[in-house]
Amino acid sequence: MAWLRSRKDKKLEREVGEREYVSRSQGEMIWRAFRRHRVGNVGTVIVILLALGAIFAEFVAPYHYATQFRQHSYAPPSRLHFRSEAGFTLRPFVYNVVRSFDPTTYQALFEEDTSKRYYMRFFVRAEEYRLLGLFKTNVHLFGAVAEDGTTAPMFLFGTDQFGRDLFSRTMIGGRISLAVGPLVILFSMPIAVVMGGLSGFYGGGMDMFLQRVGEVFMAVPGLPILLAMGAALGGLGLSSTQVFLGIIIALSLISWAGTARVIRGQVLAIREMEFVYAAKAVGSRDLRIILRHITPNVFSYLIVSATLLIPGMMLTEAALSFLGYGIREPMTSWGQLLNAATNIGGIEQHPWMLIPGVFIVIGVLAFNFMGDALRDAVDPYSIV
Amino acid sequence: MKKVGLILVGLLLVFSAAAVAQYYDGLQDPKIYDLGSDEYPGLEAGVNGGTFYISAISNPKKWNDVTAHETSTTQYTNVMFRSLVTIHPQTGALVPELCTGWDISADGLVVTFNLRKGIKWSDGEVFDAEDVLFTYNDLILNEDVETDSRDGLALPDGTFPVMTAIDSHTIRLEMSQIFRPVFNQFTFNIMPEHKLADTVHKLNPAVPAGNFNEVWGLDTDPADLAGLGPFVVESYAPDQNVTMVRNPYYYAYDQNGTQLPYVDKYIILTVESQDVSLLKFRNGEIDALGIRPSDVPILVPEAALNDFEVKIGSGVYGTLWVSFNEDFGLGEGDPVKDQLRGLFRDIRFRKAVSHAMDKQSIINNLYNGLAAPQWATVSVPSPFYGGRDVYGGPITESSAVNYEYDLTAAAGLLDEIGIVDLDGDGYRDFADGTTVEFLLETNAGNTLREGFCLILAADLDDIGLKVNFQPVDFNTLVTRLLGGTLYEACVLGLTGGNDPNGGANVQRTTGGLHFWHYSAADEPYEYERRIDELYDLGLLTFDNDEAFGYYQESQILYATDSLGMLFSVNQQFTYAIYNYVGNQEIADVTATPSGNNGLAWDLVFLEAGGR
Amino acid sequence: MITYIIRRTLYMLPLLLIVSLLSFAIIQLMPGDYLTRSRLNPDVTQETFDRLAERYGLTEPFIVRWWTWLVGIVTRGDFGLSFETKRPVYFTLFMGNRLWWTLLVSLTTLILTWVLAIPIGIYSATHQYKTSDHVLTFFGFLGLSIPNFFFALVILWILVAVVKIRRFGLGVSGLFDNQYVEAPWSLAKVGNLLWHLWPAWVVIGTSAMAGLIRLMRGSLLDTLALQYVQTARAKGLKERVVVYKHAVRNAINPLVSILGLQLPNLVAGSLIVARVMNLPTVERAFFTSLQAQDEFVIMGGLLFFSLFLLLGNLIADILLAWVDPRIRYT
Repeated sequence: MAWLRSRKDKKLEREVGEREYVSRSQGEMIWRAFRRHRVGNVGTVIVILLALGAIFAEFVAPYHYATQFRQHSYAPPSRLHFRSEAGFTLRPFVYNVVRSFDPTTYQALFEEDTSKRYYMRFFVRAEEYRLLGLFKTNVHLFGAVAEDGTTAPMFLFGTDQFGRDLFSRTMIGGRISLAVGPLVILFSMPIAVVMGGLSGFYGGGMDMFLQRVGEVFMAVPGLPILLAMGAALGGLGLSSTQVFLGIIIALSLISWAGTARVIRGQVLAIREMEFVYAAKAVGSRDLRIILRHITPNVFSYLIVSATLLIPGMMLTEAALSFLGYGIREPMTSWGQLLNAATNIGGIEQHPWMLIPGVFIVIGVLAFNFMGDALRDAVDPYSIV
Repeated sequence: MKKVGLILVGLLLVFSAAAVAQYYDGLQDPKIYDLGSDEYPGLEAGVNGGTFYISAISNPKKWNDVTAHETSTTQYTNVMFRSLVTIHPQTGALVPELCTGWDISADGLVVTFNLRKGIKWSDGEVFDAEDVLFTYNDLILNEDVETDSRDGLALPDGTFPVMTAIDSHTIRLEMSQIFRPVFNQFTFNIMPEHKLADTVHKLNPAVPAGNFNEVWGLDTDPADLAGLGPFVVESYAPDQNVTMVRNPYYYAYDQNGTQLPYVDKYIILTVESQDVSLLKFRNGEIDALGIRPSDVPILVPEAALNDFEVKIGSGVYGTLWVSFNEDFGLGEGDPVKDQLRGLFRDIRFRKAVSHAMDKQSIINNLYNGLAAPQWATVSVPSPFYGGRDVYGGPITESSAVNYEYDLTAAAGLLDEIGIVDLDGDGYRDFADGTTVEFLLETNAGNTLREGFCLILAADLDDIGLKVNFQPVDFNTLVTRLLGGTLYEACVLGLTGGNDPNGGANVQRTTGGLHFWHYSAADEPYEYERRIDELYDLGLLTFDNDEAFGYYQESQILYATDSLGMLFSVNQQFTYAIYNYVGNQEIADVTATPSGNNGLAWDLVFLEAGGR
Repeated sequence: MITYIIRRTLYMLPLLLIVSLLSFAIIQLMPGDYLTRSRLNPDVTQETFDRLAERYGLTEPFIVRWWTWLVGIVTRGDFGLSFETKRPVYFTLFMGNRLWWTLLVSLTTLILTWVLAIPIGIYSATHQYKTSDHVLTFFGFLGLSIPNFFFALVILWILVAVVKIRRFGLGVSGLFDNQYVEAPWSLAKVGNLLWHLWPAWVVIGTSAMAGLIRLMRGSLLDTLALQYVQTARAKGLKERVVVYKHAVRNAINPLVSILGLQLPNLVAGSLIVARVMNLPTVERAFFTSLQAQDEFVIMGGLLFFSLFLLLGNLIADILLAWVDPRIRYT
């Protein structure tokens, strides 16, 4: 990972030569420690890839997530052929598939129609969409086009019951699944920081009161209340986007109390440290102490806490889908896709439907490893 | 010599009479099933013994059959109790159960039921007309009792049939007008008067009003329950199972004199997930299972190996439809809503949507090919189904009103109405430029209905109608549906039954479920008036063939002129059953799709060596 | 200490009161009421339903209903009737030993998780950054990242379709195999129960284990870096004594402190896994009543879970004080 060395590092070493002792800022030290955690780096790369896939989902996906190919219900993933008469070819191609029903088992059978080849091309023109919600374009990352310009459907991950391309749906679904965590953090963190910070810094009566408030929220049993809120949300006649936002808010209300308690503990500890006493002795105002001294120390714990919260949110979203109170059609998420696939038919007959589950697993693992690396890097006492 | 012969013959007669009497436990009128005859074809007599395992999705809520509201409870109580008449599981015809037969007076206003003599309750007490009177007068008609059976017994003029007992085994029913469905309504289960009379406030003022609604709950000791059905409850473990054993006093026998039911024990395992019950079936823990169409390809390959069979029956009760609110925004004075309402009221619009319904894709993709197009308001298994030619006859679909999947025809109809794409955005507009768009709702979480919406919305999109699909919570949906002017387009389903009059609340202009056009109560359309007439006529004759004519006409009229509900497809009943279960042919579809009640419990037996 | 416990217990009452009010409010937000879904029954007229709604008190404003319910609890200990079963709420929720089964499943899972996680965490810390450490961490997290409902079904499927346990006469889901359901208690029956429980342990346990392992590992690493450990080593004590007798004893403290936080996961796991594996838990009864909008049962269930959480947290805090001598509640 030598190439990840910061420019400043290299500059210092050039100027200073073989000097043994170099002073670095706290940020630089964290960065170096973070880089050393190999597993965490892998996790971070995966997270970045998933995020990119989600942001540019419409570009990466060959089809719109709702387009139905009715004659291709539960079609298996398209087979990419690398062999033609000329031998191995670098231009992979697919065939169109035709569906028929086995008369005794009612099993849908898909057979390749080898009469025509559709080559995998990159940057093809297909359905129109808005890139990043701004620019209208119709260029997609890849597609299957024959010599004469006609296209055939190419399903990298197969299709679902309605013949919708699972690859496209997984890309778009990633948006929701990956966004749930950060959005919940966005809503709950400020509340947690304010409550926990005030509680820890001022102590006394305010601490008692805020603690009680926090306890109420912690006494509320998470999943049952979430279900009740989900049921309530479902009844208000909202669009699926609004239901999604409602779920986010519900999740935030449940999770802030735990984080607030942690922050309170941290603030309590830091408040007793000498540099804070020093600041007070010098006459700094409370606000300045909070902002300039305490917050930066708490910040690192916040980041770690946040990162480690995200995988839990992804799994909660999936659990909500299973119980029937999650993301609704026509929106899609990995949890919803996995839930639709979790049946015996899904495991035996069309196992490709479980691929979004793999994405959930990878996402949760990646965030966890990234969070671990961050935490080890941020903790001043850890030996990395 | 002659004397000895006479004495011998006499003795023989006495002994055989005694034997017969012993056989039937003193019953004078046992119900004898002649298995294998024309009445019960494809069945055979079996022997007693064995434990039969089945699974159910939910727990029972109570043992009180009168106040039970959903199949989760009635699937249990229906085998614990019996009614005066019942429905033949294969033909849908009415067969006598607790009665031996009935007589209808010449003017059709009086029906006399003759009860079976000598029947005993499961606790040994004698059954007679008192029990029937008690159930009808003091339970069903009692307004304190929360039962679903009352409203269906009301005659069109608001009165109820009057029941009296002529003697201990004869019941007399007097009606103010001829009411053909009276027999179908008398399929409510009879309750024991000796056990329950003092729990009813009306008979025993010492207990509070409404007390009966709380009796025979799940905390009741099973030994305190008493019924006339084939099984009695032995024990109940919540979320685990319900164990039932043969009722020692059950009055039905087969032609060889073996007391029914054949099986000794009947255990219903509570398995909430249909995937898990499928696994349990494959694992040999369940003997029969109502399966989903998507399970068929999984089971068929294993069938020969594990010695079971996958059976595909005919259609099920119930309907699946999309409906447009012809009263949308009525009286609100909103021109946008008025315009949309005007469109919904145009029959050409509804026909266009019918033509845009890709039923074959729905059948292939949602039901794995195991469904058939549906067009009529009456359920397919009913003998009054319009796809038959005569009452109870075979299904020929010769009068079916089918709208072929034809997007060009659909587009043509819409053009004819005058809504075309004015601004080139791909969607049709009204004359004043507003886009034609509407909200399509269904209940979230129901994959079949959501799937139907997705397919339909895509097709409507292709012909230029903008559909905003939104799954909502079930309760919200029902509230909007029944709200009169609230919903725009809705996909839902209704349960069905054997008698078309059961759907009167839906069909009649004054009915509480005439939800697509509640204002018909004030201003009915011509065809709605005619349907009202036909439903009146259908009540006034006991001749089923004549009634069939009326109901068939109403179904055809509904499909050609009304289209208040645009029907889609009807699933075929699929179930899997192990080969060691005898009398598998008795499957009937009185259960909901994937329900397990599709077997007549009295007649199922387990072949020796099977389990 | 005793005063602390009494104080905490007294605090629970107002907390439960607030929770009940919040819960009731949320239930009111739910569309329609218990009767709404029945209204689609063509056999019954809407007038009958309206009459029923009045009889059930569903037409009164929610504050009135909450107050009546509260008064009922305080004066008669009456938590209300379930609309569905017409039996008292506590019976509907806890009938058939549901409470004991729930506690059994939850507690055995908790104990197993701890019994496994601590040694693995210790091993991971003492062999830091070796391959075995990475492998254990990875598998720990794998269990965490697979969604429970899916994991549960896959395990059952593997047992039936791949391993074909039919050959061994074993069954899946539920508490017992068919032949043991009615049978009297015996060693074989207990064994059968364990056979039905282990998939639940695996699914619920793996979610909790990952966090515990990570925490144990981190905590032990921190402790091993402290000065007194250096001193112990310098004194010549065997490494095993240093680790187990001195370091682990102190490293366990943070784990005890998060014991309370694990309880919500147990509740959630109990619901999801119990649904798939057919275990009779209180959460399932709660969920059924939630879907049916059976108001008083929902309220009773939410109160029960709150009480469970509060009690669990109290026990966890007491345990922490017992284990860690630095912590004292005055």
